[in-house]
Amino acid sequence: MTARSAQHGTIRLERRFSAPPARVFAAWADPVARAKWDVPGRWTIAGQTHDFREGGRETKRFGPPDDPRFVADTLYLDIVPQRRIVFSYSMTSRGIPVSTSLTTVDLAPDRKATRLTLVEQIVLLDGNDTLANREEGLTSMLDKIGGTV
Amino acid sequence: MTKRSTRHATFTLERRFAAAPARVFAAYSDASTKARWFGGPDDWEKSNLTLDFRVGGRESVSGGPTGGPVHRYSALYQDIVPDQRIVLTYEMYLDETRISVSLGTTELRPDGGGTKLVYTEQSVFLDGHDDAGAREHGTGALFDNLAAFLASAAVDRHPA
Repeated sequence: MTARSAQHGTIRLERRFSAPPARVFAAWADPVARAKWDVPGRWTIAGQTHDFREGGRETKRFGPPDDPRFVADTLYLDIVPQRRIVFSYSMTSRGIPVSTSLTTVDLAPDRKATRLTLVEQIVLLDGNDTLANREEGLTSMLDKIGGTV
Repeated sequence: MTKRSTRHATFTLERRFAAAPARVFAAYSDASTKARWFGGPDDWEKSNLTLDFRVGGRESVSGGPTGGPVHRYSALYQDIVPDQRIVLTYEMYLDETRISVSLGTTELRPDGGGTKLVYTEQSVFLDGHDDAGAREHGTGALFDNLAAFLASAAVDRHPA
């Protein structure tokens, strides 16, 4: 029997991007833009549905190119265009629960640039992931957004 | 224009119930059972609780004081382990305004013949609708309701 556990944590990351908030917001809202960054490192997206609106739900299958074993089920909860995105997602690996996250993306104009604050409140399930690993993944994705906007 | 802001907060509540984990879990998983303890104060007007208790299923309930704002709860079940764990996210609305979104983890563990419940809530309060501890207080009141319900159900099952 699996030993059940739930580890709670919060990851907070900040960035300044040399692009207006509308461009940064589009990194989430526009499917073509999102496909450029929405997995860490060299991982790839094997399948992705899009429904970017409050109450919209999406499924993404992803992972290493030869083993897309992860599935993320997302629900968009609060969207303020150019300003804020709040969403939840649960991740599984071959059907085994890994985590559930509540993620807040705040965008603030800073002259012609954008200050982004990402706060991910997370519960890690049954020891199937670590906070450090998740922070590394999110850092990698924000770096990619910086490269695309 | 509305001033936009977010504030993040976390609280944890622990309770011990005399009932076994399977009975505590059943108080969450069955709609008619959950409706007996999950809601606002007794004098609030309430709407029917709807519950689709499965991963990916939704739940909603609303209520409020007569003539006052309607408090609406809308949840999505994220992870369920029978008798052991329930993870959900929920939105709270005051009338039509979304005031917060939360990630709630309920853990149940056998404790003697009873159950130790640990509830952790990670929240983001939106646009200044920060309730300064009222959420934790209200959640504690729900667990008081749950304890009373479990005790009364025990009496129902074992009449003197």
